[in-house]
Amino acid sequence: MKVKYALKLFSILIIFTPALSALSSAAIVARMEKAAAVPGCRMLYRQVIKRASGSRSVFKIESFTMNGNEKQLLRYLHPAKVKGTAFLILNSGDDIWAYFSATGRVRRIARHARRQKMMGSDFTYEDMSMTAFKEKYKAELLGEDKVFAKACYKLKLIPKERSSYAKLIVWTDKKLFVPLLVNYYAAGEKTAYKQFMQGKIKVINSYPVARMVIMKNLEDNSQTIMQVLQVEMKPNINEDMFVPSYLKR
Amino acid sequence: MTIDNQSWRRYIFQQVARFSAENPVKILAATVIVTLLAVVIASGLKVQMTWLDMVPQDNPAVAEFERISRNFGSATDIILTIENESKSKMKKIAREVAAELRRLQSPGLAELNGKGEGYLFKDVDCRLDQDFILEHGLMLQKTADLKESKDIFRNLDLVPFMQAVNDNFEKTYIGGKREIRGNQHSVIQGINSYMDVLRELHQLTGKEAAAARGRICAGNYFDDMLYSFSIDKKMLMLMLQPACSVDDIKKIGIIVPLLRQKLQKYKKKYPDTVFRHTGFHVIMQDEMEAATQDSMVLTNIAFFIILIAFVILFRMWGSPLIAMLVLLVGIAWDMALAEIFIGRLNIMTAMTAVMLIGLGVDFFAHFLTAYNEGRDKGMISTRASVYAAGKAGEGIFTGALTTAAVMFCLMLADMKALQELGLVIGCGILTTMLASFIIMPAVLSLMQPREKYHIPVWVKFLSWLLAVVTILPLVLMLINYLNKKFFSYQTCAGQNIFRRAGSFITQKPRRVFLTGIAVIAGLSWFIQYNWFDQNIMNIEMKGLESVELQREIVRRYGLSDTPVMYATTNLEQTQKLHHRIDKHNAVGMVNSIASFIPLFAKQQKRLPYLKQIQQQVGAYTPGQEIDRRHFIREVNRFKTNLLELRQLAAISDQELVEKRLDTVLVSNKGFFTTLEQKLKQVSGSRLSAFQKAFGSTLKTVLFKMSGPQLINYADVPPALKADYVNTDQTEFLTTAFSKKDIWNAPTESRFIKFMRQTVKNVTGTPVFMVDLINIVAREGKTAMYISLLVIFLLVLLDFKQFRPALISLLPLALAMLTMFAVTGLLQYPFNVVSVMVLPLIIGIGIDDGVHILHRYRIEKKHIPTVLQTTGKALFFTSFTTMVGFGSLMFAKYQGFVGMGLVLFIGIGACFLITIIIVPALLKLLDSKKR
Repeated sequence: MKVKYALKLFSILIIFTPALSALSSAAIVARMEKAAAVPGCRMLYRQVIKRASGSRSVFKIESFTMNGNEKQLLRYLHPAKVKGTAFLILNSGDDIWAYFSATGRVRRIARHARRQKMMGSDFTYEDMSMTAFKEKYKAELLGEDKVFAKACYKLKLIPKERSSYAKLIVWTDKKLFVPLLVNYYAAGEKTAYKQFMQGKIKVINSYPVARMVIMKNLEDNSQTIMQVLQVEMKPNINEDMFVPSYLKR
Repeated sequence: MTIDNQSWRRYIFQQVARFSAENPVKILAATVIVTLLAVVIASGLKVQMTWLDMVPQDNPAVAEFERISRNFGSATDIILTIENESKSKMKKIAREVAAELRRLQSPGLAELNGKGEGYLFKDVDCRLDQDFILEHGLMLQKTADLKESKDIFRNLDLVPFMQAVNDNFEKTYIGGKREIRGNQHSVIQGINSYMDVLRELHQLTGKEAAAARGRICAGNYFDDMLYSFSIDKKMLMLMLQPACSVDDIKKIGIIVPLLRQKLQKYKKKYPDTVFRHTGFHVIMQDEMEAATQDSMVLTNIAFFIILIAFVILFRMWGSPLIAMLVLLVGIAWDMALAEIFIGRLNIMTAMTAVMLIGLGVDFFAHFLTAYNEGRDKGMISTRASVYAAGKAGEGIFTGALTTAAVMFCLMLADMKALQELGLVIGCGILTTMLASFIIMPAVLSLMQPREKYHIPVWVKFLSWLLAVVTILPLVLMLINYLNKKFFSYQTCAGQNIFRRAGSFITQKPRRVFLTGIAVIAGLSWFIQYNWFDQNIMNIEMKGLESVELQREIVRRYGLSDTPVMYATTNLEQTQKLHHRIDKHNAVGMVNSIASFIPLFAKQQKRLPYLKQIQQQVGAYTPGQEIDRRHFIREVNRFKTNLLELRQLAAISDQELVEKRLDTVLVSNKGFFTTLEQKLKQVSGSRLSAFQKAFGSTLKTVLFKMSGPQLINYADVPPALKADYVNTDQTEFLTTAFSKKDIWNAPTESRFIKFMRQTVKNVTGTPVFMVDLINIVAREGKTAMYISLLVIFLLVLLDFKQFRPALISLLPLALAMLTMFAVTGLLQYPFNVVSVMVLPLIIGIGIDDGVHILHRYRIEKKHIPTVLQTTGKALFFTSFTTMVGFGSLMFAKYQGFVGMGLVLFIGIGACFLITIIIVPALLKLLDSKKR
C-alpha cells in the first residue's frame, strides 16, 4: 500500500515537475535584466555599417557604459576624419552631448532623440538602452524554441510607453538569458522590419557579453555589425566620466 | 551512280546536291539575283535598342507610359549639362543655349511630321519662371524652413544676419532639432547661399565694386534657386523635351545628331565650358551606333578567326571563300526576312550576324568534311557532293531543324524582344542551311581544277567584266592556281587526334565516363555562387558619355537620374499625392504642378510667417556701420559650425553634406583665414557699401517673395503648366525620383514598392525593369522547358527510339550544369540579357549529340571512326560557334559580353561532353547489351 502510494506520488512528481519548474515571463524578463545590468564596462569595438547602395562605413569606437546602457560614453578612434569625436548618451537617448574634435567644443545635441538612428547606424538610441525590460515592456511567454542551435525562450514584448515599435519578439538563451534574436514590428505589420542578432557570447565576470552584434534593417536592406575587439569589466567605473565636461579629456 | 537505299530525306538531299553540282552557273546566278534583292530589302533595317520592347505589350505600366507619352509629348527628357567654374557664366550660357535650341528646326523632321514645322524640341527648360518665383517663392518653401527663414531675415545687416544663420545651424542641425538625414538638400542650399555671401566679401575692392557685389550677391541669393545646379554648384542641368517619343527611332536619328552638331559649336565658342548630354533618347542613339559598329567589327573578327580555322583544319585555300559566300548569302536572306516581318533589329537581335557566323558555318563544315572524305575515296566533285549530302545531310538537317525549332519556340514567350530573337535566329539558321545545301555543291564543283568542266564563253566574259569592279574572280583564279600547286586531299588536320581519343574511350569507357561525371559533379559546387545583377546600367556600354553622365548626375545631384511617373485627373488629387509621396524617406524629389501650388491648408499655415517676414523686411533699413570684430567672430563661428556639421555628417552617413563641406573646408583651405585678414584690412566704407547694397536688394526681393497671397491654378504661368498639364487641362503629370540609385536592385527598392502601393498607375523605366526582371525569371524558365520538350520530341521523331533521344539530350543537361558551375566559379553575374539566351544553348548544343548519334549508327558503332569524322567536324563547328559568340565578349555593350560568355562556355561544355562522355556512355551501354 505504502509502496503504491509512493509510486503514485513519484509519477505525479515526474509528470508535473517540468511544468512547475518552468519560468514565468516575468521571471525570464527579470533574469534578462540582471544579465544585462553590467555595473561598468569598457569595450573596444568595430562598427561596420553596410548600406543598401553597397557603400560601407567602418568605425572603431571605444565605449564606457554604466548600469547596463543607462549611461554611455562613446569615443571614435577611427577613421581620421572623426577621430576624437565623442558622445555622451544619458537617459536612453533623452540627453546627448557631443564633443567635436575639429573644434574642441562640447555641444548638447538632440533632445528626445531616442527614436532617431544612432550615429548613422541601424541602431536607435532606444535599441541601445533596451535593458530595462521590466519597466518598459509588457512580456508574454510564447513558448520555447531553438535559435542558432541554442534552446531559447520565446517572448513577446509590448512597449508600455511610446516607442518606434509596436511589438518585439525575442528569443532569449535559456542558460544565459541573453537575447539572441529580436524581431521588431511596426504597428499593424505582420512582417518584422528590423532584426537584431547577437552571437559569440562569452561570460566575463559572470556577465554574458556578446562579441558580435548585428542589427539589420529589413526595409532598407542595410545592416550594422558591431564586432567587439576588447572587453574589460569595470565594476567600480567612475560615475564622473559620464558628465559633459569629461568629453573633452 | 547508285543512290543509297535509305530514307527519302537522304534521297532529296542527294538530288539537290547533284543538281547544284551539275548546274553551278545557273545556281550561282540565281543565288546572286535573290541575294541582291534581299540586300535591297534588308537595307531598310534599323537597330532599335529600347528596353520597352523587352516588356510584354500588355503590361499595364508600358501601356500607361505610352499613353503619357502621347498625352504629354515625350515622357522623358534629354538632359544637357553645362560645367564651368563660374555660376554666372553657366547661367548666361544656359539662357543662350536654351533660346537657340527652342528655335532649332530640321526639314527631315518636318517631313516626318507631315507638316511645315520641324522643331526638334517642344520645350527647353533652363530655369524656373523668374517672375513667378519672385512673386511666390517663399510660399513654396516648407513651413519648417520658413520658420527658420523668418529668424534669419529679421535683420539683413551683415552681423545680425550672420548671427541668425549661426543660431539657426546650431539649433536646427547640430542641435538635432531636425535631422540632417531628410534635409540634406536644404542644408546644402543654405551652406551654398551663405558661402556665396562670404565669397563676395572675399572679393571686395573699390567702393563702387563693393556696392555692385552686394547687389549681385543679394540678387543671386534666390536666383540660383531658379536653376538646376548640382550640389557642388559646378554643373547646371537643362531639360530638353524632344518632339518625339522614346521609341521613335527615325526622329531620334535626326534629333540627337543635330543636337550634337550644335553642342560642337558651343564647345568651340566656350572652350572653358564642358557640354554633355544624356537621357534615353541619347542613350538609344548611342547604343544604336555602337551596336551597329560592334556588329560590323565583331562580325569581321569572328569571320576572320573562323576563316583562318578553315584553312588550318581543312587545308583548303578556297574554303574560306566558300564559307564567306554561304554565310553572307544566308545572313542576307535572313536580314531581308527580318525587315519584312519585323522592320528592325532590337537589343537581342542586333548581334544576329555575329551569331549566325558561328552557327551557320557548322553546316558548311559538316558538308565539307564529308565531301573531303568522298574526294579522299577518289570520287569526282559531283559524286563527292552527293556522297556528302548522303552522309552529313540528315545530321545537318536535323541539327538545323532542332535548333531552329527551339528558336521559334521563343516566339511563344510573352516578350517582344525574345519573340523577335526567336524569329530572326530561327529563320537565319534555316536560310544558312538552305544556302549551304544549294550553293556549296555548285561552288565546290567550280573550284575543282581536275574537273573537266566547260565554262561557257559568256560566263568567262562576265567574269572578266566583273574583274574591273571586283577582285573576286582574280581571287578565284589565284586560288585555282594555289590549289593546283598545293591542294591535297590528304587527311585534314586533327583527325588522328580524334581517332586516338576514340580508341582510348573504346578501351576504357567506364573510367572515362566516371571521371567526366566526377569532374562535373565537383565543379557543381560552384553553382551556389551564381548571382543576378539587377542593375541595367551595368549592362549598358562602358565608356559611353551618355551612360557615364547618368551615373554622375546621381552623384552630383544626390538623386537617381530616372524618375517614375503617373498621371492624375484633378489638381487636388495631384496635390495630396505629391504631399504624401514627398514625405516618404525613400523619395528624393517630386515634381508636379503641386510643386508650384501647395495644398491650400499648407499655404494657410505659411501665411502668418510670410506676413511676419514681409513686416520685418518692410521695416528694415540698412545700417551704416558694421561692428567688424563682431562680424569676424560670426564668420569664425560659421566656420566652426561647418566643421562640426561635417563631423556629424561623416558619422551619420550624410554623404552629400559631408562631400559639400569637404569642398568648402578642405579643398578651399585657407579661405576663412584669408577672409578674416581681408575683413580686417578692408575699409569701413566698402563694407558699409556692400551691406547697404546687399540689404536693400535682398529687402526688395524678399518683400516681393513674401507677399502673403495664396497661389492658385490661374497664377501659374502657361510655360510652367505645360510641363505638368496636358493641352486639354484634363490630366496632371507627376514625376518622382528616388533618393538612392534606382538601378541598384530595383526589385528590392523601397521607393518602387512604395510608389506602386501608393499609386496604382505608376509607370516609368524603373517600373518596367522590375516587371522585366520578374518576367525574365518566369519566361526564361518557360522558354527552357518548352525548348527542352520540343527538342526531345523532334529528336524522338528523328531517332524513333527513346534511348538515343535521351542520350542526345545528355550533353545538354551536363553542359548547362557545367556552364552554371563555371559562371559561379568566375563569379560573373547573370543579367537580364544573358539569362534570356540560355535557351539558345539548348537549341545549339543539341546538334552535337544528334550528329554523334547519327554517325554512330552509320559507322556501325565504331567510335574511333565516329570521332575521327564527326568528332573533328564537331570540334570545328563548336570552335566556330564559340568564336562567333565569344567575339561578343569584346562588345562595348556589356549585355552582349555576358551573353557571349554564357554561350561560349555552354557550347564549349556541350562539345567536350559530347566527344568524351557520350561515346563512353554509348560504349558502356553497348557492352551491357551484349
